[in-house]
Amino acid sequence: MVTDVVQYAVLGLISARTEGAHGYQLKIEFDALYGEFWSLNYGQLYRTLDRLERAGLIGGTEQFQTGRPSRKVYRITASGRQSLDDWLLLPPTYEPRPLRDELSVKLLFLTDAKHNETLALIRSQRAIYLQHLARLTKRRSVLEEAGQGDSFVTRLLLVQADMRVRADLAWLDLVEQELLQRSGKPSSTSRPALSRPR
Amino acid sequence: MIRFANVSKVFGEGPTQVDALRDLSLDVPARQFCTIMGPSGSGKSTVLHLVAGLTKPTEGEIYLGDQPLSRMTERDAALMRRRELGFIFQFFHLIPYLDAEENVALPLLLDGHSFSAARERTERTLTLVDLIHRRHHKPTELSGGEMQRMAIARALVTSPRVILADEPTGNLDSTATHAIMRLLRRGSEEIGVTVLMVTHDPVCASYGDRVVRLVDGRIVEDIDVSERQAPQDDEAVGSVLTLPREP
Repeated sequence: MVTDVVQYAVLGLISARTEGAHGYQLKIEFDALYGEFWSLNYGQLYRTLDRLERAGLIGGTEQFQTGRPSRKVYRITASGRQSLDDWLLLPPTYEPRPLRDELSVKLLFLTDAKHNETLALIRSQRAIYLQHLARLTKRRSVLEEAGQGDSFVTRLLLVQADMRVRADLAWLDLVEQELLQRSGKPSSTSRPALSRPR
Repeated sequence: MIRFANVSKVFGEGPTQVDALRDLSLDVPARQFCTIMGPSGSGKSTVLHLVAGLTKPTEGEIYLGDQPLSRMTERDAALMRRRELGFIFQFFHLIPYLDAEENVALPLLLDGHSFSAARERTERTLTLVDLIHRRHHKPTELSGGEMQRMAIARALVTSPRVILADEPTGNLDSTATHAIMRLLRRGSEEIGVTVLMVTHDPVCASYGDRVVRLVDGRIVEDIDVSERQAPQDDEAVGSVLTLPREP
């Protein structure tokens, strides 16, 4: 049973090529379609192709080339096409995953006594987000100058990225604001920094 | 280009006293695109007003280039505002009964340029912001993004050394926001103008070189975001796209 989203992304690309596709072509197409927002290296790609082939969703045939090593050309199988169609219409199972990032876990256990250190953590996290966002913006500009920013999928992914970063930074702002509001109040217990005052 | 040396600004006195800025020192070099962020009431707009000479510091000094603003006469300050500074506001502040060309030409005409000299520079600037085809439209006949492009043209037409922008995309949708920010970025890179921008929006800030965050009138963060090459570590960008959500 194939469950990995990456495997379906690759399977989808192969399904669009009735004449078959080899690994290098798939890598180029993957990069072009996802506008470089989702990076897949050759190792991951070939592992994914192996898994798809073992699951019988694609079939590979050796293609001999004169003067060069032979390469494998993959085509989707009937069972692969069925699996892809089923998966496309299956409601996504992705759920929000609270408390999976490092900062959230740290906030759980930091206490009022470490007020300044907690603020410093929030701020360093914000700097990291802003620097990532600046790199993302640079990529957006490069894509748009290359005329790829208008592609339907790329444009929607870019908007999604903007919205997520805005939400994450707004949350950091809120955490900072609440920490600052608490800082004036003396605290005798060492309760977690973000727990509600009794 | 812009330097704050131990600047404090107090509004009011006694029980209603507000310390808008507290001993703030900031140096924005020429050609830098610097963004000021921070919660409401943190002093962001006061920074812009002080550079513009619209208000005076309670303590400390502000320099534009080598010139301390406190030693300028009112007349010199007015000339400096007209020639060295360009302003961009959230609500555009365009003159409704003038068309695009007239709005953009206005700062030049006020500065004593002839109509023919002003026309040539106005056309060049409207072309730069891609609005030349709308030259005879009035602000109300344009979209929000186009109105802001008109305002940017008006700010750039005098070839100022500094652009002061106060929430320039606060009233625009996402597409127009990116178009305006790309334009400001180009202004900074190609014309070499120094940009000081106040914004709430981190996406706007990501077009700049540097993010300064104020809280309660003090700088609490000074973040270099100028490293504008593609990331070496692709997972770094991936993590921005796939950060785990809080419920």
